[in-house]
Amino acid sequence: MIRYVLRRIICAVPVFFIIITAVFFMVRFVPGGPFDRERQLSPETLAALNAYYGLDDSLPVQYLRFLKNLSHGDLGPSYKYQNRSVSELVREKAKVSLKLGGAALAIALVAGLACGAVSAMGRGRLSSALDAASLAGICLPAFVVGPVLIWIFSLKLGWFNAMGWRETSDIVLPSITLALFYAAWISKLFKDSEARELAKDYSRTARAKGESAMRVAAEASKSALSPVVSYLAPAAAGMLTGSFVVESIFNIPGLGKFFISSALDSDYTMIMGCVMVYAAFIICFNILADIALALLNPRVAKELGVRK
Amino acid sequence: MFRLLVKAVLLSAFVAVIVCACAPSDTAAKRAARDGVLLLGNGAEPATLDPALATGLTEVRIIMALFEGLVGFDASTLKPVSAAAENWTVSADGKTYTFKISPSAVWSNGRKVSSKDFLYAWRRAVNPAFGAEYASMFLPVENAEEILKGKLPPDKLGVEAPADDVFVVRLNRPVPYFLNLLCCTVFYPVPENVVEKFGGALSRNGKWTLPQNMVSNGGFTLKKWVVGDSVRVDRNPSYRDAKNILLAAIEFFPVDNMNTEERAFRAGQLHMTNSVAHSRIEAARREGGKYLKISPWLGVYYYLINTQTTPLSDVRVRRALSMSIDRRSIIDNLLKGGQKPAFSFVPDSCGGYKAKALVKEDAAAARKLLLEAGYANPKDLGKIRLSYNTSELHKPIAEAVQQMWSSSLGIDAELYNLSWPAYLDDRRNRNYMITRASWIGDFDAPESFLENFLSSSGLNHSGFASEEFDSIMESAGRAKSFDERMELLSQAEEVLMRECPVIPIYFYTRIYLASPMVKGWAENILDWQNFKGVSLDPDAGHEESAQKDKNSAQETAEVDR
Amino acid sequence: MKASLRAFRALLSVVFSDRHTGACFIFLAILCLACMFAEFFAPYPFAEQNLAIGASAPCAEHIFGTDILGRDVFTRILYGGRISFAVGFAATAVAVLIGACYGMVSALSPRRVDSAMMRLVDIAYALPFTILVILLMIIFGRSLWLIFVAIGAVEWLTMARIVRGMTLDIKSRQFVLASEALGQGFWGIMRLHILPNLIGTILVCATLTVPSVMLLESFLSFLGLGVQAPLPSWGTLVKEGAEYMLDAPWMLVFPAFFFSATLYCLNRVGAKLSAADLRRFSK
Repeated sequence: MIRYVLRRIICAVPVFFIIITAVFFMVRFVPGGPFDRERQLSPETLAALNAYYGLDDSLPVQYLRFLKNLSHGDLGPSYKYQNRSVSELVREKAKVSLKLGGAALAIALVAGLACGAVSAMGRGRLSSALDAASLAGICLPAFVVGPVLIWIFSLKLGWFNAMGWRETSDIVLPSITLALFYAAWISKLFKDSEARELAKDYSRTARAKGESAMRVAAEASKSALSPVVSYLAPAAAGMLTGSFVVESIFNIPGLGKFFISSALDSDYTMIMGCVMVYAAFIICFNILADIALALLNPRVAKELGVRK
Repeated sequence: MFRLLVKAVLLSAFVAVIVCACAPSDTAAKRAARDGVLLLGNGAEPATLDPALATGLTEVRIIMALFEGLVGFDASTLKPVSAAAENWTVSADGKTYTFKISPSAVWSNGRKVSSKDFLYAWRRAVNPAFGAEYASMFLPVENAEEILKGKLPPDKLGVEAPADDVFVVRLNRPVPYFLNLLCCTVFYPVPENVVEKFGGALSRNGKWTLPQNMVSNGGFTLKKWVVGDSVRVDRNPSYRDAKNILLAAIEFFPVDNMNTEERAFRAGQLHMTNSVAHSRIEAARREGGKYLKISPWLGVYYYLINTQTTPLSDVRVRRALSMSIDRRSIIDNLLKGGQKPAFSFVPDSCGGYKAKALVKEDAAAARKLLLEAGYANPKDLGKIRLSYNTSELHKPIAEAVQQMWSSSLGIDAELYNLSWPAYLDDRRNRNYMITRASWIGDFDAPESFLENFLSSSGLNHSGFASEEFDSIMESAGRAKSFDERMELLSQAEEVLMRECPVIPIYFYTRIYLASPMVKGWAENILDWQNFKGVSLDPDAGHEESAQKDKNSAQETAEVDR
Repeated sequence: MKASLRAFRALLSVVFSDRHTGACFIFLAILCLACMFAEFFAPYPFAEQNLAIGASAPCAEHIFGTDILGRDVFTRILYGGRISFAVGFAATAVAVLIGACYGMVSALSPRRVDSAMMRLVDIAYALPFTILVILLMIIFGRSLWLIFVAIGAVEWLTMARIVRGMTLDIKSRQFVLASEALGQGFWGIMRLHILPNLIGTILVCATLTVPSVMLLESFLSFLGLGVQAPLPSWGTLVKEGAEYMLDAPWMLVFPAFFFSATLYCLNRVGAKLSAADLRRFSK
């Protein structure tokens, strides 16, 4: 197990490297630069700024400097938010996004799995009602759900703040808004595969032998969880690194907004910061997902080389 | 099991309602008002708080609370008033200004504000290696142009500090609006020792603007700056005019989503918003103008024409396009924010300027112009591409204009939506036919608008170049009297509108929501604030009545239907 | 020809085996046709404005009301359905197909190949989408098929991971190993065990991807790719409607209804079909 994780981590290094290299060069081909404004700067000022940030060097030189600074953990200053360094900004924002995303992840998991399990085991109305509910979760985009939740619980009932990230209760509405979509996916995926496993011979035999419904379901879910686990890896990375829409609706100082705004502002250093965080999450969660698959099915463990 | 679940949910909802109904009902806005803290929606996250580097209103607002320049402004008339300089004299030729620094002007660390601070700040801002975006504001000052081009060192700037309380500025030419110009943040002083300590004069990433380091000379001092959360400034007791600062503190919230901002206002988390989504203006108006505030703003929304593409190289085509837009209809039916239709480029009453209606909306005359230009069949013009960057309002305006051109001229316009970087890139490279644009005046004078179209201006993306225009503008700079200058500027604008490299659409307004708790807020066309005389009255109704009003507004709306 | 006719008839018989699913199928069919022939069914041209009436509530002339430019919402839903159906179905189909094949191949390949293929997916995940789209537009110009490429570029990844995880799980199960021992060949195992177990999940993913893709299209038009105004799409209609949801709720409610109803019906029909497939394959 430990050897497997180590191997994956070693494998992650070149992956990470390829990602940052690709993005480093990609962003330079986006039209415009970090100092483009509607009110255009004079050529002299522009030249001074490029010189100041070392953008007048050739790309390979800039790349090497980026790698050198990176080795000291220095991502440089943000081009837009001038007196902050990217590492500082990313660290601050990631804290917020982790909290919000963690809460959303928990809600999505609990609600999604519960909803999926009940609708897979149950029959008739409850099952189809839950099914329809999860479909609604997918159809209703966050930019509709968020404002409606605020309108009801903040403006009408006055239970929560309409925006901001100061009080503990500020986490409730945004995390629900963020979780809804993912919960719906988890519920649908789980319901579908759990129902299929329950219809299989082994489940029927077990039930015929007099095993309790719960135990049969638990046994079946070992296989049924596989698509959920695979789905969870990118979903968790997405939730934990924040969402542009949710952060904008609730005015939350998370990382999600920066993913879009730094790209549109050509804030090169900030883009690299965001991408590195996201890449790290994706890589980690995909490792975790593979380990989870291995735990659910010992033979998969063998297949993946987790256990010899 | 299912029944039980339903019961449990209903019960807990019931309990929650009871609990919350008994909870204290004071809103954040009310509590803050009691403490004298103004909660202000401020658009976006400030990119910097360095006066020399500020570019947008977001930053300018905060910086004007923190710092003051030689000359201040009256918040309702924008007339120059004494600030760090208690008085000044202008030489007979209008080229030398001598400022006397006020003895009561001090930095928040107790040090006196001296003319050396200005010397340092101005040389720093004009230093090309620093790359201040607004350094070009210094152009009227002697040698500034050469310094910005790197031909002279910054210490050759035409400024002097003969004594600690005397500051002398020499200009290349008389600039009638120079005192207005001095209100811009790029001319503000910065505390030399602090700037040097935290990064040095030429560091754009200096840490001196962080709350723990900053020293300022304005009505407030920087208390807290949490990115994405808020910037808080506290009253500066050592400020020379502290008696006029009635607020204990201001908190600036970076809320870029206008709907979020409005919801926060309605929930009692803000005293004032930065703007109102145009979709919500009507609803706010139905409340009887209790919160909705609209005031003219020194800016113009226009379409920029690339005069070097066919068929737009023909001035008659350009004018026909401009004449066939129904500006009133766009304002009344889409914008709804009390904007003024723009029949000229310079807003009326900008620095005392009288704007004339230089565009006549007349579809028949427009068709005649097209005919004269040889386009008997409008389809011969081909597809005219109208590009705009993605934003809430640009699209419906472009759609409406497209329809107007098609119905009154039979012209086929193609809408072209661009992301922000692509939009800027296309515009700079003149890779467009017609593109959306806007211009917000930097200072209260028509020059702030017209100088963009000098053939030497780097901001002139239209390809328009007219010797006549350039020479009139130059003589306006040399005008002896205010009236003569205005007359010449007016002539220049006539040339501009005759050549028609721009299609002005409307003049901006500031649209925002303000709680009745806010007293003494002055409106001006630049939306500059020094927060003097602004106070809070916690007992003036805000959110409770907001609820009531909203309900009654909905009722009346239903009755109306 | 005959075979496909028979298949089609079989499909219809499955779909119409219960009333509910039949109704869903008919709704989808009618909607599809109405959108395809929008010129014929729509009461107004899609760009026809009436600025003076602005956003007005549903009435006899405009059954779903009008938007802020006074354009008929019903008309715009029909025209918007065109691009949204095309993007929703075609892009999803392509993404799901690529994802499923990739995932299966990865799972069935030797460990090293599997690992390499999955690391490639990791890399593709991490590339920032906004920048990718802007770059694609520079290279290829803006065209309709680029929407499919851009959407395909992101949507297949999750599919590939899910299918790969499931295939790994299935291929190591007792019954598969047993049938392998009984001499069943690669294709036989694929047909008998792997595909039938995957098909349900793939269909679920496909139906769930459709609405995300339709909304993603509106983000693409935010970046300048996608349908150009004044042509509508469901994604942009829902997005614009959300702006006005308090003052002109019909601008959100009707597009959102069609949007959700389409997904609901799709899901229903999909579930029915996958259940039918399962029976046919496993018996």
